Amino acid sequence: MRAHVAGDPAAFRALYEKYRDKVFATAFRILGDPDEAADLAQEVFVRIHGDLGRFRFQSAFSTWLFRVAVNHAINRANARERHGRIEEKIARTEGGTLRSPGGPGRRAFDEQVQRAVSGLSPKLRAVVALRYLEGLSYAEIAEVLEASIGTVKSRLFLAHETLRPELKVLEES
Amino acid sequence: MNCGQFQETVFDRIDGSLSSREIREGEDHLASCPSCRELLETIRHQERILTSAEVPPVPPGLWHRVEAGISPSRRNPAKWGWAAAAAAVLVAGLLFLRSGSAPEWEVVKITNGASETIAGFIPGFEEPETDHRLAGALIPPGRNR
Repeated sequence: MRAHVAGDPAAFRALYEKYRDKVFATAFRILGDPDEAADLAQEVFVRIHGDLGRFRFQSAFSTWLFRVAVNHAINRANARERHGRIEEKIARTEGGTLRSPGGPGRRAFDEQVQRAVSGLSPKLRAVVALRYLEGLSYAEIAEVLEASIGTVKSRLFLAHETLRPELKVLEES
Repeated sequence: MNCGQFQETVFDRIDGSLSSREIREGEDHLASCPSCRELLETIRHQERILTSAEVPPVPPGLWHRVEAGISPSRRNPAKWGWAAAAAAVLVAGLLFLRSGSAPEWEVVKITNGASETIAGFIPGFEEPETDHRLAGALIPPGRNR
């Protein structure tokens, strides 16, 4: 990373290769759309490239990267939802549970989980993504979000409460 | 331990980061509280689902998009625009000195819609392609007003 600060483009490419999956996955979990996640990942890496010279190495690079990605994703999700561009709604039966995935297919399962997560607020989606997709500890999530560990846990608790009816009918694959 | 205290420690309980005393107190509470037993099982179930669900792969070509975004001209358009404008002024000045002709083209600086002539230009010089990223542009006299 310091090599990039010194102006080595190959070092930035290596940084991109190392973190692209994480940035894209986090963006996808929060935004729920692969095209938007790709746009956001591009935006984040361009931003990181521009700001890397100012990075002071006082925290882990991954923490800073996740912070930029999550903040961008939350802002984008909030803006999109303010403008009412979310047309996809969670499909419910009259009983209030998700419809049958129509088979044990991997893709159907993944899509149902994403639909359920998309029903959360962007802030709750971010905590779910960092915890269950990226496997960060509560302390690491707190650092990324610049919040207390208690706030992280209470957001996660609220996310689980909200997801209860949506995930009740799913079995892990 | 009551239900509120159990809920506060439920994630640490799942992670196994509680003290042996806290674990024992929680187990005592669970033995008499079906609601907290259900809560614990629900969260464990959801965690298994959320950690096993996958996301789509990174689309091909993402690096090229990033690369395009960090190329020098995109990274600092104002700086490169001014460099292009400065080069245009220099060329205009040299050609003007050589020919001694009256200017038929001007180099103008456009800022927030307002324009300002910063050099004259001579006949016979081709008008460059319009590039709105540039801070300066070659425009016939009067057209920019």
